[in-house]
Amino acid sequence: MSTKVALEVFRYRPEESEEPTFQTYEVDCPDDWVLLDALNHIKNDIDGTLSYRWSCRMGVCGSCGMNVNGEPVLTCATYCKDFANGTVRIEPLAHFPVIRDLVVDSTDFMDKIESVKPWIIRDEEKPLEEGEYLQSPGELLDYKQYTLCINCMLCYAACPIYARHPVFTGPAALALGQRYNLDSRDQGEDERRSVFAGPEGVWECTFVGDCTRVCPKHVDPAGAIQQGKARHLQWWAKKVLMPWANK
Amino acid sequence: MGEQVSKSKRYEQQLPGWWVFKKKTWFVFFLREITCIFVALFALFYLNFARAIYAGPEAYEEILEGLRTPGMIAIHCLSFVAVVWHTITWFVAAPKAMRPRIGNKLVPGNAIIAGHYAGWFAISAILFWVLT
Amino acid sequence: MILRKLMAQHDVLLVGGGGAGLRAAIAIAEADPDLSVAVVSKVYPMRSHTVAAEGGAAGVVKDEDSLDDHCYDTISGGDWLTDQDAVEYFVNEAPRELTQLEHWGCPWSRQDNGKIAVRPFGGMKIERTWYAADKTGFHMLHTLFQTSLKYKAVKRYDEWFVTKLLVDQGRCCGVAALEIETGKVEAITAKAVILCTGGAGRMYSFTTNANIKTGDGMALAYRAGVALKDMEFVQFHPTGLPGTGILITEASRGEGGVLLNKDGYRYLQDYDLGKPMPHPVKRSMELGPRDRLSQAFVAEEKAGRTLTGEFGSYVHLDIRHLGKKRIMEKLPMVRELCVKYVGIDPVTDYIPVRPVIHYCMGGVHTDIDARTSLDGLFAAGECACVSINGANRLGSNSLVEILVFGARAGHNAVAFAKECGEPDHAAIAAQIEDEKNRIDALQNGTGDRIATLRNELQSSMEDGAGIYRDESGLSATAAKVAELKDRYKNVHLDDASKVYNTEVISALELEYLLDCAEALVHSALARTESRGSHQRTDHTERDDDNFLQHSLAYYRPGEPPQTALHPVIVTRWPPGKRVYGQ
Repeated sequence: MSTKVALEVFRYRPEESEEPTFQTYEVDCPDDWVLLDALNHIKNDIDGTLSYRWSCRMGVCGSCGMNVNGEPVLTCATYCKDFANGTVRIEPLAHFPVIRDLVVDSTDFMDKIESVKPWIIRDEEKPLEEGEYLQSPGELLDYKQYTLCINCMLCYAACPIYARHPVFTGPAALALGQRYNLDSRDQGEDERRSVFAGPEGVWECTFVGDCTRVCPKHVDPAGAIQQGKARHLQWWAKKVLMPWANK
Repeated sequence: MGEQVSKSKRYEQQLPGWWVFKKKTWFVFFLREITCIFVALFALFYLNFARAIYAGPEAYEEILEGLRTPGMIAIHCLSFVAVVWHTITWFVAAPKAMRPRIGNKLVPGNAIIAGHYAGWFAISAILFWVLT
Repeated sequence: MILRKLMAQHDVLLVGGGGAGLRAAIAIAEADPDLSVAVVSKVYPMRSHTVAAEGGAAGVVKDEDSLDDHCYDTISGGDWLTDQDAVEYFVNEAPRELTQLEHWGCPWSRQDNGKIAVRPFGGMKIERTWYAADKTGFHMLHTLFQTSLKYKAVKRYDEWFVTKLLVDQGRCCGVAALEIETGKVEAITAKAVILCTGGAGRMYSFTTNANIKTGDGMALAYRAGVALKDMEFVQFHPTGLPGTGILITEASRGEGGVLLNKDGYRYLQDYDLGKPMPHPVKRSMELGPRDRLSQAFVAEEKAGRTLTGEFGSYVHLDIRHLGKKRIMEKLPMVRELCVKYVGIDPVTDYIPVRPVIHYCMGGVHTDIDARTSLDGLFAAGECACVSINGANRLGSNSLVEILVFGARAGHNAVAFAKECGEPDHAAIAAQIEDEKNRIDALQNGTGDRIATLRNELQSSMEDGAGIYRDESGLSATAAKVAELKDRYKNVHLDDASKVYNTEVISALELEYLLDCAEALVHSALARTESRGSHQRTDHTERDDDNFLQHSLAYYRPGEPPQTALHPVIVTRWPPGKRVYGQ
């Protein structure tokens, strides 16, 4: 069984024009095809000039995020048959500058990821010979959900705050920072505080919650950010009310 | 760092100032945020009410007179809905901000939300009993 | 800061930013923070295919386990084609590397007491596979990538595609690379280059591998005169989803999953892999080595005992008896993939599976120090062949191989870079002009589309270089590859732009695939025996007298590769019979 789908695809070729256009391709999609299969069919057999990113086709590499009918999705996880009798509008991920066709500039995202110092920070390292840091299954559970981010950037494409204020650190980066803050092996929450509690951190977030809604891996970045707010308040209260306490 | 000389002309995708009307979820968010105005209104109203009680029976009667108008009743009904919605969305957000763990299991979000409702009803019940 | 001189210069350059590349980069940055390290990757590092590995990474931890046991399992799993000195080194370093990753934050699954948990895996006598749910590669890659951000000495060239190794006076001095965003071809020079580009599963139609697995580093080395070793040994993972080829991890069998034919019968018991027991038995039945399991499937298929579906024949993987709780805890991604891509829930349904191309045991010929025959060129990970995997890799050895040999390549590259002098930058610059012209010339083709050539290659490889091969099938595929190489010279591209032209990238990747396929098929023709994952129906026995040797394939322009043999190093485990199920 198959479905006829009209794919209205965003085209932007900076060498030809400053303005983007839309190009429509009619594709007969077998039922097991995802949108990525349709795009590959277009590129392979119809129009090799269409540029887009993809790799694993199984929802783990985070390459193939695009805006489909206005919603950021992974094209490897979105079935063509769900768009029967309609036009599918395929655009690059929202809120990012477009380099070409469906390819966006991820530079800012990469910078944001780096800004939260996403690595284990400790005062003292244990020698490898002494083996692993002990971490109970419960302690693993504290941060496990936030380790699942595949860096697909859909949350940034869903976040209106990021769109209007690109200095905002953003959902995935803050969730990643929180992942380390909550990891029992990490002691770096203070070092991440200037980003978290600073002008571009958790307090920029107004909990629209769309980031969590679109996240294909159920990371719940909105939750991570609200947790960040609660933790910051706790830290601040302790600092003000008990300034003698060691932090 | 990702410092790059801009190599080709980027197409900048912009989100307009009226973005809250662009998507259903964003509009619902907007309405939720608007409810805080009603929360503030309620707070102001109660302060005024308290002031009137302290000032004496005449001031108190004046307030009650003002409340009996259709306009005020309408506002209060709307405010009530808004404040209840505000409360519910706040409760739903609670498990996001706190994720307590007991042993090797996270306390389920629903338990936290239920706890908030229980607390709300308990306090309301006590107040009701005290005031009546 | 990337200094935009005539060309960028570094001390060590990594081609590829996956597990091996990032581990090497960190090793170099830690060994000497003053060295300048470049990671040149055609994708952002977190997209590298390490991310898709699922099951786990092996390292001896249990008291009842021993390094010798891990060695023996690996050597026998590899059908004695492994270099035993390299295996001993690898096994010895494995626990330390995995612990190092733990210290860097990798979220390994734990026992109740907080210590690392290990699970059983195919071909392993004792549980030693460390795991992070069933997303081990994902967690390892993200841990490595995030940790690498600590080291300011590591400069990344994200989305730069390496098109050629730059060689001057018998020494590798860097690479020519195409900056995908601009189409510019530039030289990035270095005193040492480490290839960490992964395998070439995309030579075949049906593969677990991502689009990017096109054998880039293997072809680059091949063209630079370095031999490709043991290319005929490609692994068919027994359990891929029909149609997409998406991997269903071996961990599902490690946790107790069983394989059933169309009669609901655990057919592996008929293939000298032991007797079916209610619980998984190590080195037995579903925990046998991958090559034997895939071969058993073919036999069942021939006998008409497999099921037939839209995408060909398949068997059932049954994990229902594990229960929902265990599946959600230990195999959550398996469930997600089944629901999403097959529309079944493995908690209540069988998973349809069939063998699928997964891994290249062969690759760039290196010694135990990750060195190649070209001075200044190293290789590590799936793109290299040391060899620790021999004729068949055991599951969960490769995720730790990338760490062990990534680190080793890094350290040895540092030592080399410190000794050698500056490359001749002028001589190298001259090579870039030729390279630019070569790539621009792709725009002149008027012949077949890229996809046409690629599809023909992939079908031919499935037909002639599958689980079972024979001379006529391999010869036909060899002829086909030669024909495709010829037709490639006139390949037609639609896209003439410079900015983010992915068609040019696909064309260059196809060229790499053709090189790898050529080496594979000719090595397979030359190896007239059956061993591990290379099974010849016309030479069915293992022949240690003639073939306890590695195959080498050397590139010869316009001709089939020169093949040769290279001794296997045997230390403490004389060749024996592979015994499973006892």
